[in-house]
Amino acid sequence: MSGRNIDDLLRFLCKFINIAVVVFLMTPIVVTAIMSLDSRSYLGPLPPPSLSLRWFKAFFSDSYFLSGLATSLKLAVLSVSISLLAGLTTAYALDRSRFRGKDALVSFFLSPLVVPPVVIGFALLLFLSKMGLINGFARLLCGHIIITVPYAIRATLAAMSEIEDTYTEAALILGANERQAFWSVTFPLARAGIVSGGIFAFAVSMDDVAVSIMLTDAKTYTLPIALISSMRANFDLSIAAASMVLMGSTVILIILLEKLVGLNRAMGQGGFR
Amino acid sequence: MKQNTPSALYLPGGLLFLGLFVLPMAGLFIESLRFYEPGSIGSAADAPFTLDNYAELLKASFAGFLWQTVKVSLLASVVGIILAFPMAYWIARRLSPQWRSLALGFFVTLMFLSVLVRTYALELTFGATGPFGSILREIGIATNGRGYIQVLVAAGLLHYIIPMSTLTLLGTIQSVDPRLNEAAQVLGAPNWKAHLSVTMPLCMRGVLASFLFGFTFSISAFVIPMILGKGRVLFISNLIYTRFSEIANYPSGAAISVVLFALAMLIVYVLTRLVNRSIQQ
Amino acid sequence: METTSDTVIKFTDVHKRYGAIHAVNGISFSAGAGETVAVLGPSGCGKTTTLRMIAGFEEPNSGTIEIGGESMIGKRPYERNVGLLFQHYALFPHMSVRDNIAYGLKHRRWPKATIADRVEEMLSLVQLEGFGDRWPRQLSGGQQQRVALARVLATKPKLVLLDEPLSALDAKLREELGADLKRILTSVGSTTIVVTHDQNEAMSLSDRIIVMNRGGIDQIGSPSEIYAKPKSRFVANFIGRSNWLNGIANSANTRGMANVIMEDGTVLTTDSVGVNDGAQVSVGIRPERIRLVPESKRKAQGGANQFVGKVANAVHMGAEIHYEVRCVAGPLIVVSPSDGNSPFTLGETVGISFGRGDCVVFPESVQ
Repeated sequence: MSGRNIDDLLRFLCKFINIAVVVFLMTPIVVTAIMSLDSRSYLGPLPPPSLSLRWFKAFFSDSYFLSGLATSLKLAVLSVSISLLAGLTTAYALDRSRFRGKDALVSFFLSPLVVPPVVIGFALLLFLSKMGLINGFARLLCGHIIITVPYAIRATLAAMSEIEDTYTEAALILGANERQAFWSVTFPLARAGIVSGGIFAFAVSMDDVAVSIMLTDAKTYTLPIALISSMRANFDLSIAAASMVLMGSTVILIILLEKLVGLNRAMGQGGFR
Repeated sequence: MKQNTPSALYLPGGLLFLGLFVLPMAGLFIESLRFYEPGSIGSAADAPFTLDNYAELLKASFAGFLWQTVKVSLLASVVGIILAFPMAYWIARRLSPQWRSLALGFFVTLMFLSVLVRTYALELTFGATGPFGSILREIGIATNGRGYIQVLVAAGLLHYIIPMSTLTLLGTIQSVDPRLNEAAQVLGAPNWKAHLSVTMPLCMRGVLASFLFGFTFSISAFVIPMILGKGRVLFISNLIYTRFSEIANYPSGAAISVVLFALAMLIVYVLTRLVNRSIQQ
Repeated sequence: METTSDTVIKFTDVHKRYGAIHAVNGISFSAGAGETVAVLGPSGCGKTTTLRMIAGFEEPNSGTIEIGGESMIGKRPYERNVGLLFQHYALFPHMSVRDNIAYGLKHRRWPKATIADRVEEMLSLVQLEGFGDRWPRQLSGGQQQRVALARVLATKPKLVLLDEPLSALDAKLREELGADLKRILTSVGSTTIVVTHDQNEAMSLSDRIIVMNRGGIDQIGSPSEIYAKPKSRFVANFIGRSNWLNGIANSANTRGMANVIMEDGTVLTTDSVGVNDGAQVSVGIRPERIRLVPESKRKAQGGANQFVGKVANAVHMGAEIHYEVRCVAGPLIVVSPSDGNSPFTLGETVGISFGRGDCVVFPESVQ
C-alpha cells in the first residue's frame, strides 16, 4: 500500500477509535441519567416506560444518605482549610529556599499521592488506635487531611513559582518588609492558583472511599461509604439519583475552576496551541 | 535574596506529615513483623517479631492475586495510552479553539467525576443485571464469568485512565512544534511515518508519564475492583481490606500493604528514571 | 577619594563572589548629588551584581558601600532610601496605577493625608494625569515605564537606579523616552545610576561613565573623554569602533612619545606616552578620524600619518558612508560624512591620512 493509502486508512481508524472512546465514556453516564428518572421500582430493560423524580425524592429523604452527605461536607471543608494552611506555609518555605536536597523534600511532601490509599488508611487506623484516638470523626479527619495536603502543597508551589521574583523585589525596594511584601504582592497574585488547588482537594476529599472505609465507624460515615453499603445491600436506583447529584456538584466545581483560573492553566497546557 | 526563611515555616506541614504519615507508615511496617494469633484482633501488645507474614505471601495464592492485579492494570494502562493518544492528537491539532475548550471541559469533568458514580454507572450499564447484560448474554458472553469481569474492571480503570492520559498527552503534543511534522513530509515521509519518527519520540516523555500515572493508579485501585469485581476479581487493595475487616489479621494486612507500597514506589522510581533519561536524549 | 558633603553614593573596594566566580573584583567609585552616572559593560562584567548590591538584594563579601554617608552593610532593601526602575517595570498587575504609585508612600509611612496629593503630583510629572484608575495591562510600554518612574520618584529617594531603561524599546521610542527620562530626572534633581550594556544609552543619558569589564572598572570619565581617550583596548573596542594596526613601539624620540614600527617598515607617529620601548603594541584609530582624498590630491593633504590604499567596499548609511580601504598596513574602516561630494568608487586609489592625536596605543598583551 502506498504511503497515502496507509495515511487514509490510519486516519479513518483513528477517527473510528476516537468516536468509540467517546461513546464508551459517555454511555454509562447517559444510561445512569436515564435510569435515575425511571418510574419503575425495579431495574428493567431500557427505555423506561415513563419518567419520575421518585428516586431523587428517595435520596433526599433518606436520613442515612443525608447524614453521610453532611459528614462528607464537614470533613471536606475542615480538611481542605487545614491543608491549605499547612500547604501555604510549606510551599512558601520551599519556594524561597535553595538547598541541595530541595527536590527530594518536595517529593517527600508529595509522596502521599503515590501511596495506595488503602495503605494510608490502614496505617493511620493502627497508629490512631494505638494513640487512643477512637472518635470516628476525628479519625476520618486525619485521613482526609493527609490525602488533601499534597494537592494543596503542589498547587500552592506551582502558583508561587509562577510569580516572578521581580515583583517581590519591587515591593522590598519600595519599603515593604518581607512579610508585607508577601501579603500585599505574592499572595494576591498566587491566590487564584491556590484556590484551584483547594477545589481539587475538595473534590478528592468528597470522593474518597479507600481511606475513609478503613477509618469509618458505625456512627460516622461519609456519603461514598453510605452509597457503597447501599450498593451491596440492594442495587436500587436511589443510588442512580445520588450519582446524578454528585455529578451535578462536580460540574459546578469545574465551572468554578474555569472562572477562577481557566482550565487551560489548571491542566498545564503547552505552548503550541 | 533567597535567604532568611525561618525554618519554623516548615513546622505545620512537617508536624502533619510526621503524625499522619511518617509515624503511621513506620507503625505499619512494625506491625507487619509481629506474630498474629488467629482469632484475636490484630497482634498482641507484646507479640514477638517474625517474618511469617511475609513468608506466607510467597505462597501461590498471594502470587495469584498479585498477578491478577498487575495483569489487569497493565492491560488498562497500555490500552489507555493507545486510545488516549489519537484522542489527544485530534483535540490538539484538529479542533478549533472553541471546540478544544469544550473537549477540555468534557475530559476534565470526567476526571473529576466521583469514582463511585463511574463504577456504579458501569455496573449498571454493562453489569450482569444491566440493560446491556441481556444483549451480551445473547451473543454468548458469560457476563458472570471471570474473564468478562476482569474486562469490566479494566473498563472501570479505563474510564479514569483515558481522560487523565488524554489531558496529559494533550499538554505534551501541544509542546511539539507541528512544523516538525510538516518538515518531515516535505522531505518525503508519508504522514504516518512522520508521526512515528518525529512526533512520537518527542512525546515519549508524556507517554511514559501517562503510563506511570495509569499504572500506579491501577495497582492501587480499591473501589473499582471492589464494585465491578464482585468478589470474583480481587486487587491487592481489596485483599488488604478483607484481611482487616473479615479476619482482623492486621499483621498480614500490614505485610501486604508494605509489599504494595514497595511495588508502587519501585514503579514510580523506575519510570521516573526512564522519563528523565528520555529528556536528556 | 574623599567623601565630600554631597557625595551620595560611595563604593570602596567592593568584592562579590558566587562560589568560584568573582563577579565583582574590588571596585571603587562615587557619585555626587544631581549627577547621572552610567555603569556600562557587556553581560557578565559585574554591572548587574553592582546594581543589586546598591539596592540591597545582595551583600558584598568585602568592602564598603555608603549611601548619603551611611554604611549600607546589612541593610535590607526597605531600609535604604533607594529607588529602582526595573528593566521590565515590575508594575503590580493586581493594583491600579494609583495604588502602584502609592505603594512606596504607604510603606514608607507617609502621612495618609499627603499620599493622594503626592500621587497626583507624580502623575503630572510624568504627564499621565487622569491615568490613576487604569490598570497596568491597559497601558502601552512607554506609559508603563512612566508609571514605573513615577512610582520610583514618589518617595523622594536619595538615589535612583535605572536598570537598562531603554533596551526593550525600538529606536524611535528609545530617543523619545530617553529625552523624557533625562528631562524628568534633571527636573527633580535626582542622583541617578544607569546600568546598561548599550553605549548609546550610556552616552545619551549620563554625565559620567564607569566602564566595567570582567568584574573590574576599566575607566571612569565623561562620554567624550572615554570616546577620545580610551584607557584600555577593551574600552576602545566597546565604545564605538576602532581600527587596529600592530607593530613595535619605539619611544626613542625626544619627548618620549611613541613611534610604532609596523611589520612592513612603515612608521606611525603618535602622541601616546608611557609605552615601553620595544614592546608589542596595537594602535587604535577611530574610523571617522581617518581622512580620504582622491589620489590626485595626495600631495596636498596634511596629517602626520599618510598612506595610499584602494577602496574595497563602500556602504551608504544615509548620513555617512562607510568605506573599507585596503592598504599595505592592513584593511581600514573609514567613516566619511555624506557631504555631497561624489563618493569614492570601488577599486579607486585614495590617499589616507590621520593625525598623531588620532591614535591611541596599547600594549598587545593587555585586553
